[in-house]
Amino acid sequence: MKPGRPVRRVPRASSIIAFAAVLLAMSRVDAFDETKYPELNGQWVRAHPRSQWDPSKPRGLRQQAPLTAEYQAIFEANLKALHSGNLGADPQAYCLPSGMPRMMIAYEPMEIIVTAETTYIRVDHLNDFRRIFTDGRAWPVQVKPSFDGYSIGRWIDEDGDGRFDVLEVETRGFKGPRTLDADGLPLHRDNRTVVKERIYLDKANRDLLHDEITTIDHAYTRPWTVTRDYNRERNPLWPEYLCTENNSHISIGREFYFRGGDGELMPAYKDQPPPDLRYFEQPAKEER
Amino acid sequence: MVERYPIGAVALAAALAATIAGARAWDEAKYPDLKGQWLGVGAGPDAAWDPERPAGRGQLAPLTPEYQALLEATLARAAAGGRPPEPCIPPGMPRSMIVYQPMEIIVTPPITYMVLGHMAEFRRIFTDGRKWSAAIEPAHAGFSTGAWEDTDGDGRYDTLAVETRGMKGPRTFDSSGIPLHRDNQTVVKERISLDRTDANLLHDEITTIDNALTRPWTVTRSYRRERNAEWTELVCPESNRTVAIGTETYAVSADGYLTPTRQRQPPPDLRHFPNRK
Repeated sequence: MKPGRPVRRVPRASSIIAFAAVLLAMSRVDAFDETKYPELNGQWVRAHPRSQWDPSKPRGLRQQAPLTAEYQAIFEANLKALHSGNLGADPQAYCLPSGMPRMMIAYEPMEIIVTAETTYIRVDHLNDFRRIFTDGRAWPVQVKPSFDGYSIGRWIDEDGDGRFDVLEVETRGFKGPRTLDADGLPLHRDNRTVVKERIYLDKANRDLLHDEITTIDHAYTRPWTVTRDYNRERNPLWPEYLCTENNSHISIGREFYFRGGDGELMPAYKDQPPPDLRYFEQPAKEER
Repeated sequence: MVERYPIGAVALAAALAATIAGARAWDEAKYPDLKGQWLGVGAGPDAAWDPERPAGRGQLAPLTPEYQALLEATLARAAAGGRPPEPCIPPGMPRSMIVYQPMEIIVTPPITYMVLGHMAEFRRIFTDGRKWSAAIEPAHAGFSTGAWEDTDGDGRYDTLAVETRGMKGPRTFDSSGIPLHRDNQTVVKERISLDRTDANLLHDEITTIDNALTRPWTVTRSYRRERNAEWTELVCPESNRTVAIGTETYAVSADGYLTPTRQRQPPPDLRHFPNRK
């Protein structure tokens, strides 16, 4: 180096790149890179006004559900009971959660919260809440049964553009009673249902979400796949939905009754006997 | 002075830096780590609202005379005949923050969510700077707006300040029945922060302003973190077989019959059953 001509030390190219790489690595530790995930913010409202399980077919027997003979008979009995006014086949009548897969009908608005480790799905109707673990965990040895089941998911970049576009989910570990819809499409009482889903935004309309749902269950002769759709509301209101506060159905033993406008008990079908009041000391009050 | 920087390296570094900026759509590191499962400290079914004081009258709740009389009547009824079973109606704010069952907190820039296992309560605390809407549809959980604060100036948020309005009733502070005003004009202010020395301990300083009280009432509730959480589904209607008919609350017995919930409770009115015996 010649004297009298100060030269500041210039970082080498490799040092600059290394420093930037460290910064990038740090950001990956600290930041959730939401740009890699589809933008699912907002409120999702079911696109199908009717709520039969397969929205592409009419309700009831015309769903052509691939039921086993035993469960087809149960379904027909459920339909008959429903037409006579008895809601016994629908667990929602007494405010039990829809559970999976029925909760994905999304009777009330749905919110999806995406984080790196977990995608959460909250449906206000009956307060169904799903945690879909996307942290790469294995299935636990034992799953405590629940209506919503235990879900493991995986984000997939199907079109190779460097961003995830499909969430694949498998859900197991259920308890019952659950049905697929309000008509009483049954699931097997062994609760060994497996639900597989592919959740993705529509390619042409980013405010339309699809859920391709395949149900594998011993009440069915084959896996049954339906696709349900949801429209996005970007400026949502979230009214509180409380089944237990507003439910007009009353279940006592094996019978269902209605709560009338005056708050008193009413029959749900013609000639329904009143409930047995054997545990009360005095006879029922006469008309006031 | 001659400074020669390797142009290619600078360009690459700039590109990487731009990538960082793009990737940092939201910087998790700026927020406190609230992941995991939070268990209410001293949050048994009979937990008193102020955990520093005994339950019931021992709380020294600053009630107006009218609402003190209501509390006395509730305590007297409970002493005489036990407490009636509670229906599957969420406790609402502020009682939700007793956290009877495990809680999860999900922090995102626009909203912090509180997922409460008890009665499936779900709070959305909007931190997107929104204003109070002109009309809030009343809800047990109310409508909450919040602001993250960096109180110690270290460049990271440490406190979530929340205000909640728009509640509906009936609500009480705790299971002893300390009442909130029937006008439901309650305002709840909270300051939520991790303990300075124990990052697995969370505090919520809760101030309730309510017309049943003579002054704002501040208590601090705490929550202990479980990092390896197991989440159990709790479905109140599955286990709670209470039935509200008319103005009475009954229970359904294990063998499927309607049963009274207090001594000499009249049975339901069966006027709508023409074939009653």
